Amino acid sequence: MVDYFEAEESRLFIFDKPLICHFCSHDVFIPYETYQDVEKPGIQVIFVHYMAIYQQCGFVVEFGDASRFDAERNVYRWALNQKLIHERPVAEGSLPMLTEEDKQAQKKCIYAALQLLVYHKKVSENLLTMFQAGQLLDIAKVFDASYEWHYSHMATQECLVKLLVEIRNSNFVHKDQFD
Amino acid sequence: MVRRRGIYEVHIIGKPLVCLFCQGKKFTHREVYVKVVNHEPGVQKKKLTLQSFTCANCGQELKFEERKQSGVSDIQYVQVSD
Ligand SMILES: [Zn+2]
Ligand SMILES: [Zn+2]
Repeated sequence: MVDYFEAEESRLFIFDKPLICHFCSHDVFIPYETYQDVEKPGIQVIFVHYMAIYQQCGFVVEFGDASRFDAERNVYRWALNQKLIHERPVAEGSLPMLTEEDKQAQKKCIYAALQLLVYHKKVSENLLTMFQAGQLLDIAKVFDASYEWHYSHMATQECLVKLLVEIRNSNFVHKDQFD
Repeated sequence: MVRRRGIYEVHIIGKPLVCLFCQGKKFTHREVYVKVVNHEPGVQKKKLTLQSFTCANCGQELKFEERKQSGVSDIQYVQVSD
């Protein structure tokens, strides 16, 4: 489950279905997030478009992000998955492992935190739409404009941390209400 | 090669290019440039240079990134009409 694909040699999956080259049937791609005659994806622009280039024949596969909120089962369904061919070395022990359950729980917390912030008019209702579109990075950027993920698999946790910090700083209960 | 005039049959890594929709084998060619979204701050904007082939029969577009092996392109063109 990823928020966006990294531009590295990898195998790609959409709803767990592997992406195979239409031309030569091999399966190692470099994915690029692209924009063509549209605004750069950002706040209120819900448009994600990918071009993955197969590394043997150069064939370009184009696809979008079909991730969506499943209202019936009350879960967010991530469409994109990526397995890097060359795993980048990370400092040992520095990254906690998040299970799928962890991420689902964090997403519920993100949604609840957003509802709280919207209720107190600290943020625009658009953020709920952005959440439903899976734009966690854009949500984090509302609170920290220059923010970038360090590790995309930590995206839900990092987004949640941003929201909790915002709630802490917002001081919803005013001192004079106690007087 | 930015643009070739006329209609071509194309081979890529030795395989004939065939339209995925109509099985057509004749294409027009154009080089296209695509902007890439950058998630890493401070890294220069990247642009993809792609070879675009439009099926002369149905209009379906197929795109490839050209590769070169010892100076020879893996895309071969044979012009079949003007
Ligand atoms: Zn291929
Ligand atoms: Zn065709």
